[in-house]
Amino acid sequence: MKAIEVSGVSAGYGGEPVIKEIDLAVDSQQLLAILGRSGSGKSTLVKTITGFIRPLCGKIFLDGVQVAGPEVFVPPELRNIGLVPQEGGLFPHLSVAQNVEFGIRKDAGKDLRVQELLELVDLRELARARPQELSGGQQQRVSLARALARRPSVILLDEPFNALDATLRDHVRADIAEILSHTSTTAILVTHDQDEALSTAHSIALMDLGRILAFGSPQSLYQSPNSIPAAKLLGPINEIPGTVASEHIADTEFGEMTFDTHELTEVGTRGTVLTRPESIDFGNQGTSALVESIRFHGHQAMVTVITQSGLRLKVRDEQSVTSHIGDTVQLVFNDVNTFIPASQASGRL
Amino acid sequence: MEVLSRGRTWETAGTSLGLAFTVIIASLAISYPTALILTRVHVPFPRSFFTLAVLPLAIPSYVAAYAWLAQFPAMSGFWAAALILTLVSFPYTFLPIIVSLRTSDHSLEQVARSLGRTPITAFLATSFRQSTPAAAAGSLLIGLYVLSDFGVVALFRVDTFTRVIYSTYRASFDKTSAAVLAGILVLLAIILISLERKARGRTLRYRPDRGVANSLSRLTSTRGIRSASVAWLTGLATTSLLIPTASLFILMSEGTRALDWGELTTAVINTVVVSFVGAVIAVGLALPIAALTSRFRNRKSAAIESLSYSGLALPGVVIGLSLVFLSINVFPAIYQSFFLLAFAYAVLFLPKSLGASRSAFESTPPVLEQVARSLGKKPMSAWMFTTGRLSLTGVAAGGLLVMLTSMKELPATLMLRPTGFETLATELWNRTELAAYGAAVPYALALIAVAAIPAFLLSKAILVTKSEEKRPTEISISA
Repeated sequence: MKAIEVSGVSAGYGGEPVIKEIDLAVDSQQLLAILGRSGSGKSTLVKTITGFIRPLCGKIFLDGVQVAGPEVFVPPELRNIGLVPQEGGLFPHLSVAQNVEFGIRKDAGKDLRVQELLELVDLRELARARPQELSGGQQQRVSLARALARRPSVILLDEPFNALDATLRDHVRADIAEILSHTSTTAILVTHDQDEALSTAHSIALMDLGRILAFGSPQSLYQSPNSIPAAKLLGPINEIPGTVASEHIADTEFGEMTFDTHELTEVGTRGTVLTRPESIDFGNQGTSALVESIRFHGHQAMVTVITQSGLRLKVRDEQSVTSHIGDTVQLVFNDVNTFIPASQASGRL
Repeated sequence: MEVLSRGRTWETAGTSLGLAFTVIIASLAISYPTALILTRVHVPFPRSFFTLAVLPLAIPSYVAAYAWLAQFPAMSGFWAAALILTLVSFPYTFLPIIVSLRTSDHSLEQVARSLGRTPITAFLATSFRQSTPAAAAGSLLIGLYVLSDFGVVALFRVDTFTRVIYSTYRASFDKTSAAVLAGILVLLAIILISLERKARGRTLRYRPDRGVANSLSRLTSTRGIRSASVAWLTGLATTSLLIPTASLFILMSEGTRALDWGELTTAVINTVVVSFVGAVIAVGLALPIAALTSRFRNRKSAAIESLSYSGLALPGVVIGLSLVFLSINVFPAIYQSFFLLAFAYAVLFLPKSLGASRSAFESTPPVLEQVARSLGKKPMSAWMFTTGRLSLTGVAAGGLLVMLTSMKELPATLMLRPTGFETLATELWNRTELAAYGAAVPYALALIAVAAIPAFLLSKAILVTKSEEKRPTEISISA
């Protein structure tokens, strides 16, 4: 049984649906990231799952119980989905502890539960503070404690780290991921940040124009994307024109390149070999290219080179800086590539 | 329909609109400098000066006109009326403007400065632009108020629409002509409402505030600017408050008749109670409409909203008459009852309560409501716990405003009050009808004093920027 199951759901705000025929499934205790640019329909999907929007068609199940469908519609307050919105959404007129206890029924165990939750997010000493007195990261942790208070079946994190600065972000992200796994909570993380999705999630759904482009584990999506747009959503990618020569080999201007494939492709099919910047190395012999620019990142550098045919390629230099602009370098291609036939390049499934 | 073809009808329409625009422009010319001084210049007693700039709301326009006339008998005509109407109604633009200036994002102004703008052009390009919807809303209230004002134009003998309707109705009992003229008046009001809607346009509603709000510290102003500011504020308080009240005190000292304290006390109690009940009903009517229009902008909600503003455009006489008609024919039990009078106030001043509630709701992020729902609250209680709770001050401010205006209302009160039920406004009227001006003065002063209480509370409600709330509760008294 899946913790969340969305099948064939379209939804919107009257007029054209914003999300179209969404299928999704999340296993219990897993963290799914929904990754997409702004305007791709992520928030609409979240509102549909939480019950603030009624889908036009399709069904939604939580722990096997149908909560939305042609004849069923469970309102948000009965779905028991924890919500951690952007910037926390803490009630400004309540203290930290009052925020956390907002969703808990009044009974003998209530105070203890609040204590427990505040301890979980490491904010016990701030129980009486007002939300405005907290840092952005602390606000997010309170928001998470509040969402966990009712032991929800699912937690939805809607771009929760947006307002945090970069250094804090990594830290809070790791904290929250740990708390979620510690409490064995199933979660959906909505984000437009590829690093966030890749580093935190067990699985990723890529969204674009209201549809799901691809769905899978971070590794498989990163290394063998099923379309060019899906590949680009997860990070820089090189597109090399090629033709299929045999089952796992394509002919390109750099000679034969090996690739993984989702389905068998006929020999002679034209298309694109996709390769990540880290799958290209600098070597002593290989294809020569000219270094055009270098972006230094400290632990590594992103080098843009131009090949003799005029193709621009991005190469990740793990050694940090070994070349200079204007140098001629030799490129060695590793075997971790994907082939996308020209007919599927747009990414429509 | 020959009324329409009369040249005089159109001339009167021109006078009404001209007066409305003159008063609006003059009010803006007073409100912007005052609001700027109180937000940007270090002046002594800023809170007291703020309250003084709100208190003119407590002075009924006809009382102000009468008080000025008593000292300057030569005053008459268009410009005299424009002056008095401006002095009693500028707080309607001052309040929304100062709230907007206080809450606007000053980092924009700083960006504009860094891009080479002078302090003034930077202000005009950013904070001023952000304040225009608020200023437009306040201007609408003033415009509608001037269109429906009767007392001032009657005293200064300016032929505006309300006066012509009244005299047509009075002189010939020609109901059809009066109705046609009233129809044109409503049309003028609709023009104003649509102009305001255009000016408001698509304003960004939930200003995302991240981290610490970027507040512009008060300018380190020169002594010259500070003294000029104090002189401006003092001058404003003198003309809008001191002159009319001082004039009334002078008149009272000249009066000879002994004052009946019992009558005065009864009138005070009646005034407070009936206007309070009216305010409660108005808030009750406004809440659902405001809740609807603040979250859903579409043609239907806009129509409901416009409809509820029509009360402002209709002179009290018209609403009074229609409620008399309605109660006699449909609910005879409530005719001339206390409840009907309170209800009339609620209908008349619904827009004020509506505007205040709506902007309070709009400044609360809807995500809080969603979080409350996800934590198991039903829609109503989720709303009460979040949006409702956070907008309390704003909603209360709207109620205070209704109470304040109800206390000053005259024509509908005269028509609808229960027999023998006297308020301060009616007692005042009874005495001026008998030309007993000296005897009327204590009632005028009592009315100002009583109305000053909600006006004072209103200024306090707006001044309260609760320290525990990062986002100051946005209060607007306007549409």
